Amino acid sequence: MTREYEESRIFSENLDRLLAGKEMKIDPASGVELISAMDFAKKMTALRSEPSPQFQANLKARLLQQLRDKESLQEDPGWFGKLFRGQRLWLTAVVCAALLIVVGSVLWRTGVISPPGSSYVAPPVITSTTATTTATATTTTTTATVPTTGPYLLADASVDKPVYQPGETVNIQVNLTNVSGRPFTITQYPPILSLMSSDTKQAVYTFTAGQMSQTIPPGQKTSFTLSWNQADSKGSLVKDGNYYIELEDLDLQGKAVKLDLQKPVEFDILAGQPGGKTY
Amino acid sequence: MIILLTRAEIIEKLGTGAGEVFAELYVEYLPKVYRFISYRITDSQLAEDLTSIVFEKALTKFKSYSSDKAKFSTWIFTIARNTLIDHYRVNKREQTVKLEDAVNLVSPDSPEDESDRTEEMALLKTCLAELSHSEQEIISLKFGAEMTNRQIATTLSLSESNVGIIIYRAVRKLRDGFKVRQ
Repeated sequence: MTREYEESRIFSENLDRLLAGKEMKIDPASGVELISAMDFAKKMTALRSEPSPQFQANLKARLLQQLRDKESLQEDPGWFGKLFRGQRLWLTAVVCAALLIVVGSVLWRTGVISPPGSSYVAPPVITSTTATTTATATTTTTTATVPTTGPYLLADASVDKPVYQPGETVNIQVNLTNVSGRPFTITQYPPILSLMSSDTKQAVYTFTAGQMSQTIPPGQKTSFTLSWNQADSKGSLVKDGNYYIELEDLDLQGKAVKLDLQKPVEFDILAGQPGGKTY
Repeated sequence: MIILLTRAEIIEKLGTGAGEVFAELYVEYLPKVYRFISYRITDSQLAEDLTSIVFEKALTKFKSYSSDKAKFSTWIFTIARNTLIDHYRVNKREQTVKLEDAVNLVSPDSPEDESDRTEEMALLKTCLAELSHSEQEIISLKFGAEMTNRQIATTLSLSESNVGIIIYRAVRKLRDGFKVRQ
């Protein structure tokens, strides 16, 4: 065991004590290098930034309000449900009226019905951005009322092989189908995609969101492909094992648009040296 | 009622009373996430913005989180790391500050102690920027997120002993860089 290894072990033990708010146990007989490093670690700890009380309070209030809004959407049937609870006849009438409205709007959109003298107006567009947009980025605007419930997009993906040699390129294809009934625009396309380790459940590599805008007509799908060279975020080849794909949710005016894959997509990377025999 | 639950039970308490659960985790992890980010981002306003993004994402995904898959600290710092990766890729520049810029950040009306501290913080961040990316990340996970060497090793797929040596060497590099510039 080298001297440096032993000193690093003592250093780590004392650093953990320091970060836990306890006193470091410094043996005066320890080397000058170790004592000096521990003194500097104390200085680093003292110089740490802390979030301001106002920032903490504001963010907490905002998050709790978002949580309450979500919970009230899930629990409260609304005046609609309360008004017609237990009243079958009224419920039937309301359902029929709703059906008439839906059919009427479909006929209107397709041009079968239109107000006299009016020309066709393009249907409203839903515009979303990725959930990872920073606070300084341009906010997106929608040109229509956003439906409060999804789903908006169905996501499916595939890889070109079930098993790869180390270093072999993994070709990924992703399809996004618009089931929202309105044109859907993703302002940062393609969305973020992560390669996840099944072992640690953590991302080993993340493809960042693109910079182009993509509009998907209702009922249509768009596809994109990505190629991964099995390098992690530091540029090193990942370990052998099982990996799966995950897409980042989109953000639609503060609401999450899920991009969960309809079927999980996973693949294996074999052990060995890069450039081995193709499977 | 919440107080009497074990941590695992609290984290699994989804759907009802999630506000109280999340609030408790927020109180514990906000300072750590903020410190972790501020080791990599000099601008305090930007560090706050990115910290907000981390917690907003965590709130959005909270219902799908399961303690069977990962500890909460591992989960939220994965979100934090990915948020930083995305920030760097979108902005394509490192966040550093030069000492002379840091001096200009100090208000002329600040007490001397506060200006010394601000200057030392800026100097430390200048020295941090000279470390390798992996050293910066390990230092921010250790001093910012207060992770143990074992947790850092798991997060970064390194051995625990390797993490210990990297931290020891990085702190000595920072100490030496600090002395040279002071």
